[in-house]
Amino acid sequence: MNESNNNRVSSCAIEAKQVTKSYGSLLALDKVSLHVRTGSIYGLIGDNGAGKSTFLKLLAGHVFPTAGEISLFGCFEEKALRRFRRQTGILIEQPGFFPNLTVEQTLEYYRIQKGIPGKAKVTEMLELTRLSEKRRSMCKKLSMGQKQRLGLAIAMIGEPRLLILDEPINGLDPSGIAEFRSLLQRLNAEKQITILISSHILTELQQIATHFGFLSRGRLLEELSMEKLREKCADYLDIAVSDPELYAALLTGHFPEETFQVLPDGTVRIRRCLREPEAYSRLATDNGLYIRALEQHQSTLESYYLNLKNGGNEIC
Amino acid sequence: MLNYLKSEFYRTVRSKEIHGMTIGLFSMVLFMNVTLGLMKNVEHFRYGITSFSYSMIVSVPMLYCYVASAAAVMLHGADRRNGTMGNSIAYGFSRIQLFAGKCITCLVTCLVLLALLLPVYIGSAALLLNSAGPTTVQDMLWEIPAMSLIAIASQILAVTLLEACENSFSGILSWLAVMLFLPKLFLAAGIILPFGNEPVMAIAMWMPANFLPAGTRVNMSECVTIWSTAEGMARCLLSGAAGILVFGGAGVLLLRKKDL
Repeated sequence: MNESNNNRVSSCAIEAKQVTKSYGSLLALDKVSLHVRTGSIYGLIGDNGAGKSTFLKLLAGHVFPTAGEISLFGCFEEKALRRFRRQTGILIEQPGFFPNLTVEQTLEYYRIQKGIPGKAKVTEMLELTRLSEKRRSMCKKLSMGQKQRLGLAIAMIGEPRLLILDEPINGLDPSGIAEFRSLLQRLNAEKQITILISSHILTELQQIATHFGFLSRGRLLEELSMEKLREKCADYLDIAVSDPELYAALLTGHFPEETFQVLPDGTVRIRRCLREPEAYSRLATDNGLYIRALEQHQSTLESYYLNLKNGGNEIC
Repeated sequence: MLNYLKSEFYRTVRSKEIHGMTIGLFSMVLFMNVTLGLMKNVEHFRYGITSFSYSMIVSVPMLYCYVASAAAVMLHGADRRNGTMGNSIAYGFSRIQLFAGKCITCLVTCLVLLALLLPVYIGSAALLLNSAGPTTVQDMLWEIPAMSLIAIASQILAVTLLEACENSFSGILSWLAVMLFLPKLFLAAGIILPFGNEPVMAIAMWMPANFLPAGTRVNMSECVTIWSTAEGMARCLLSGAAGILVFGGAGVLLLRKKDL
């Protein structure tokens, strides 16, 4: 199958099939099957040691899988993978650079290595990552945030179709994080670059990712889209009343569009509340019911992940 | 591959380590010849002659191996630590391409260094010192082809070990073990073993760290070099070629599927 056919056929920029990676007796990844759709921003979530970096290193070719297969743009074969890696920009852990070269020289080095004609690309990357003022600074003298931006510039210089970023906002200040977020969103929207990003900062991921994968102890717990996550993580209201059966009947009668369930302990859980909490409490009190407790739950990606990791699979 | 080589040459030209090494070598050569030149008229000082200056290189042919391998350490010793090797692999270069690219970069760097240094060495000695003594410029020039393959082999070994070992220090120690300690071990075994020592001794005497000192006697009264005979030159070239094959093959096998 040639390259153009692959591009047409594959809707997955990245596909992992039953990938296992072990380092001696340590099992870093255990039969991970994962799919990153072309054009998506995929957030890879997991604790330290969950296997995120190992998975990204497998994609980058830094390590080889013990078992299973990985494809980029539909190609599984090693030589084809190397060819497709040329269309991939990667920033894993620390950005790679020569401490005694300047920022500009480092980018020029990679421009030459990637066979990009013309020096304009270096200037473009310096501007894109706001490093123009530091162009003549030695790489070793950059701050943590500047090094991260240089790493992004290196990853971006080959005009990749796929960006793989491991903890890219580490060391960035708040305004740097906001800038970085909008940059990724712009790249995804304007250039249709697929992005696979791992981060501990789940609130950040929740703001930009369109799909999520949850890794824990080397296993992929779940993959889901943002829509699905929203559905699963919808806010809910727990209301404990003196007569749950009657309150359930009242809800059905007065608010037929609401979805709710009566939990075993008698609490009525209303999902995706369409009204303010006062409306639900008023419904109870107006009908002579005594409210024992009323609690509004704001679900987050973090609570969903923690719940998933701890074995839950239904609600946040 | 060509792009990788181009980028490495771009870096090498700007490498502070290589600049430092070049300046250091030039300074040492000039310092030695200038000092000898200044002292040549001092009474009873016998060393102000070209022979003494040339013998510094001719008597220690392993210097070529040391300099070639030092260049490899300076150019590629920190590739893994800096993460630059990871970037190149992530960009789709195979480990074998990178290995070959590094060997070629080191080789070309050393050839350029040699081409710059040699005229300065010979020129300053010829200009500043009295032309006398057993060691001639021909001895020094013939040393270059004799040592070329051995130096390349040692450089390939250095690149292999720098990539295979977890850090530069263990890479350097491993290089010393293979290039210096292992030959001496074979030599000792060849001498000590009560029986079956002949093949061990034969192998030992194909190792540069053994046959070079054994076949070279350079001092103020004589200059006997192993490469001055056809047999000795052939031993140098064959040993070097075998080293390139063995170390190159070992590099390919070790690095082909090595995790970073």
